[in-house]
Amino acid sequence: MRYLKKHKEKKRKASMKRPRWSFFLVQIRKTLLTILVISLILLIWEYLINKYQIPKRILPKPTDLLEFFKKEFLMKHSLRYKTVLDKSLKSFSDAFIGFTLALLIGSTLGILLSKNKLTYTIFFPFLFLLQLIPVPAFAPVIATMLGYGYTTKILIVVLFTIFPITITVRNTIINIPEDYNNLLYTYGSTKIETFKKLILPSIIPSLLSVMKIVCTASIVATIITELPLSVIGGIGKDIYNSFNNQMIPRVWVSVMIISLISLLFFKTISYLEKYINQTYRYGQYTI
Amino acid sequence: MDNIQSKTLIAKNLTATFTDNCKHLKVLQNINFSVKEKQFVSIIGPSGCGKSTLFRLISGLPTKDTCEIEGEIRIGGMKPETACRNREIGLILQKPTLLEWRTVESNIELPLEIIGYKKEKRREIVKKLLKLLDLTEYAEYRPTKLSGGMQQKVSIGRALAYDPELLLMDEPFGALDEINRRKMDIEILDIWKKTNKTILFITHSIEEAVFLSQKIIVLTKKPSTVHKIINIDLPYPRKKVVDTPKYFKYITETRNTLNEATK
Repeated sequence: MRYLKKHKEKKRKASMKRPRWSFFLVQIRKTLLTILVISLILLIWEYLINKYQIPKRILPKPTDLLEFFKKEFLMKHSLRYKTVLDKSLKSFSDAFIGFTLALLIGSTLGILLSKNKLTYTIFFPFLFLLQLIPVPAFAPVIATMLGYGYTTKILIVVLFTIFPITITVRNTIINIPEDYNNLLYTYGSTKIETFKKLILPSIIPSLLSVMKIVCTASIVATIITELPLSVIGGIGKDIYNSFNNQMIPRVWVSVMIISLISLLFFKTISYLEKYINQTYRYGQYTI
Repeated sequence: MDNIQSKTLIAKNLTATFTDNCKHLKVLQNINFSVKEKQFVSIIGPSGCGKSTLFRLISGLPTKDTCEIEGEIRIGGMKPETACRNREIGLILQKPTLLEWRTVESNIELPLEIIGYKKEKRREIVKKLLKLLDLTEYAEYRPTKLSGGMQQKVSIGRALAYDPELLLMDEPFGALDEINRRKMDIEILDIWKKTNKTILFITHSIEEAVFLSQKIIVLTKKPSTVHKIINIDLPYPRKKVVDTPKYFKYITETRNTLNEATK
């Protein structure tokens, strides 16, 4: 108790020295610094292209990008026209569907593979094959079977991202200390109860960290599959067409937008991971 | 028949052999002992003598296929597997094995949730246990916020929650320092007195065994068998007798017996 009091005292003193909003000051300083660096890079970029007279179709200037940006987002288009942002969001939503499916199927597979050695020896080679084959290169094979449609796209995203999920889930379950399983056994726990009380909470942190890896991969997979497949609506197809028509600033802006979406997706999951791990402390044991 | 029922635990001609790649390793040989109801019995032996194998056999947990068992164990007249499924055995392991995503309170509640008790009943039992263990003010804490000794106390509480016949303890205070260990020894005696449980306590420490138990079973080295059973005829609370010559006599006797057993 005495220790607790001391600890509280320390905390109080520390908070007296630095006011609460000081956190925001640090954050603002960081942001300003980033903005400064980015603007510096843009200025140098503009200057170099002007100096060496590099044509727009090879490397556009920031002002070219700005011009395209204005044309795309500030001018009025027909109702049926879709901006690069709309197309990027469409790609993202497809990636998200694939990502969710991969999570569901991957975790289920991981749980099944952890159950007994036989299922593992039967199914693991196939799973590993999925990881060995460059899935985007495999896309045409799937496309010939399922057609150049939406199903193929989602299937490829799932195939591209499922392996790390399954392996992580399986390894986490296998590495749960045996003592915990033994204890639950002495409580007369059924398999379902053990799953609910021990296995499910144990896999949450590793599932969250593998989600961080897989979320950006799912967007990459979507874009790649859109290139050879003629599924309409995605940004991948748009990038491909713009490139063929030498609309290079359009390609640049599209790439930037989809990267930004990717970054936001990643950051959201990172935040979720941090929040859940700190608040609920799933998957942590006293050793 | 009467005689058997008053004895909670009986091991009769118990032999265990591990077979691995045609190699036979006899771990336990002809082990015979019994523990009466409400008794506190310790098992002591050189390290690697098969204490943990014995512990596992008594606990009724499924054994590995490579382990061959002869003889029999009876817990309240039942086989260990049946006793385990009937929730007659409470395990307390070397490590506290608590779940960090549950508070102290809900860690103790875990077995009750699995059994399927109603919430009010669970709360009632947990409240009683927290009071018994003197942990009431830590009910909402996460386990890692507690000291090692207190964590182990929570795990004792969790084992007591479903009111088993026999408490099996496998060096529960092995990781604690001398001072905390003595404190926990005093507390476990207190808990034993209040709950009237039968306790089988595995330990490495001669002093701890003498301090706690009414009977010490000394095992020999591998293949281990019962070398001698020492009855400790000292009154409780033991705190008052630790400085008496009789207490030291028991310690010396146990040490000498253990030395003989190790030879």
